[in-house]
Amino acid sequence: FTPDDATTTTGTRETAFIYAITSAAVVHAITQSCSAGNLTDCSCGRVTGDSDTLPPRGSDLEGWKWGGCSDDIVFGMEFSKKFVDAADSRGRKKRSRNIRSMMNLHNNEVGRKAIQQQMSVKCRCHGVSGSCAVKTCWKTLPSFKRVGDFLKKKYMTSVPILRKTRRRLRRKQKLSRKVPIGDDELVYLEKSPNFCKSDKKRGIFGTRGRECNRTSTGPDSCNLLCCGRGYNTQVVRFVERCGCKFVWCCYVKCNTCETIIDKHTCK
Amino acid sequence: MKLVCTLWALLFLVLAAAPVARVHAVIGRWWGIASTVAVQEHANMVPGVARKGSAIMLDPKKHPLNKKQRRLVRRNPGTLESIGTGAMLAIKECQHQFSNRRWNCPVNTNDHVNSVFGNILKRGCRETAFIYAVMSAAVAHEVGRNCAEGTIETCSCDYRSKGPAGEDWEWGGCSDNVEFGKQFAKQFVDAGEKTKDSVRYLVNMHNNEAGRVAVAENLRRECKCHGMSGSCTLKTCWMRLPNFRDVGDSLKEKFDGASKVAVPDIGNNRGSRAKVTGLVPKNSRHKFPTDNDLVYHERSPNFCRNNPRLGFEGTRGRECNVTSRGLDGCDLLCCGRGYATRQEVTKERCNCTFQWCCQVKCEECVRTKTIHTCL
Repeated sequence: FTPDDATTTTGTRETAFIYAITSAAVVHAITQSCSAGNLTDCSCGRVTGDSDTLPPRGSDLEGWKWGGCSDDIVFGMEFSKKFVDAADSRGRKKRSRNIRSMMNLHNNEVGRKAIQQQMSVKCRCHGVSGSCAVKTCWKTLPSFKRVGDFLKKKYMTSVPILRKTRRRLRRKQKLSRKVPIGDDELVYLEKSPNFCKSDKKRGIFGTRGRECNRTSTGPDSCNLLCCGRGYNTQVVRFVERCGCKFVWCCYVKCNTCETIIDKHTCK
Repeated sequence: MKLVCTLWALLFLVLAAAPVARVHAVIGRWWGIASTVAVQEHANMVPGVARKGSAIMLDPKKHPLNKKQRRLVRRNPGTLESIGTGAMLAIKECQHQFSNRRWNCPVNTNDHVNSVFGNILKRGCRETAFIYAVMSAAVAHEVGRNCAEGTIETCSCDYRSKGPAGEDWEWGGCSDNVEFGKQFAKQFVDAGEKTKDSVRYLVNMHNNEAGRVAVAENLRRECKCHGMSGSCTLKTCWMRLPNFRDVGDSLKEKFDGASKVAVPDIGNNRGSRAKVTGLVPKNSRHKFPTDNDLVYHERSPNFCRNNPRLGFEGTRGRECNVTSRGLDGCDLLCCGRGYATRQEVTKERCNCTFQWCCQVKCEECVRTKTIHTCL
């Protein structure tokens, strides 16, 4: 997607997801660079025994202490907030921002929080022959795939919001309008198009040529993905090495296996 | 409920009957038999239990058949009825399978068209392929079953499988004669095609065959136990034709994966399989269609708007499903034109209780149903 694509210019659920995952990606990349020492302004995280934000959970009792290089998420979060949000925070005052900017800012925040929420603690034992007499632990970033999975779940349950705001976002659904929108909920303004047909103007490529699953009933099924246009079948041949054996000495002997599968693509 | 449905279907087909009967003498489409059957059943005034073998049915001249088809029907007394009920079955199945799609298998009630399905048959798109396949399948199915039922004089049960077959069962009883059904359908249905050298001819033939294969493929074994008090020490089995719904389902699946084909250029030798059908996939990287795959050679129109040339009215006014992302959803079915929503109040009987003796007392519930229709 480019900045002019409809996927990012109209405020759909897909747009929400893109904003969230982009801002999460910035946090992730910056934090990783900090730990790797590639940036001058940050380094490993400041997680020490007397830190207020991260208490020394049972450090002495259970026999471990903070150590190693924790990922410094604070710097990453701040950086992402300044950098990613800059595009939508041009209006100084909150009131002058339009609804679309507010939607983007919210979704950026959801992305950042997704990373923060999934930080985990990793430990290593340093005792004699690997025993856990001495143990150091550090905070580590979640794998980005996990963040993606998490945001995908949020995408499925994202919340439509009203165009009219009263300084804060409100749900479109009448009954739950008073329920505040949490920072783990993606929000969107418009219904998504169906993405079936290619529409260059709106940056939609259509589903022609996409691979589909003939036996599934979900969104990847040929029926739904191809929007009823049907599918083509191709015979695909895979040649792989298989049944490899070690022969003394010293080489590995393999057979070549051929698998033939039907590949279905949308018409 | 079933009775009401049958009555409606009959009424519908009766409306369709008159014009069809007049015109297909020219076109020679045997599918018009469906409407004659409907007329006859209606004439008997006992829907569903129409007396079989009455005068109109037995006279092939009254039907939209060509010479060869008439001869076949004359030589195999009883088949005309099978063809008639088969044609009706096929139309109903087509409408069931396509009820959620833009093209919903409409049947003509219009004077100016020349066959049951209208001008869609003049094209060679996927929908046409399905019609050919389902019609030919229905004939094979009905004839095969009627053989076993004994209503066709020239065939009976399929006794070819005999004797002990498995460890604890043996062949016996009366199998549906799918072989005869297929043979008959092949001769009868394929005789309806005239111009024998066009792409369309080859495509239609292929789809006719695919329909018949779908019937044979869905054949299944049915067994019965004859031991003491129903125990299974003695078991006989026979082959039974599937419900036609199963055939329809499998053809619908083939419809989704139908291949676009063309006749190869002369001199372009593409291997032995191509020679058999004379058809090759338009895109050479695609899989060769097998006997049971449907084929087509023209793109389908989008069926969104009224298309007088095609005789299709478009999807305006069709009921759609707001929550569905599929083809029956308002977005796709209405082709993005949007939909109107209205509330419909229906009175239903509910909370029925049985009271001694002997009546059932019900309350009347008022239910509001939200209906969405395409603009």
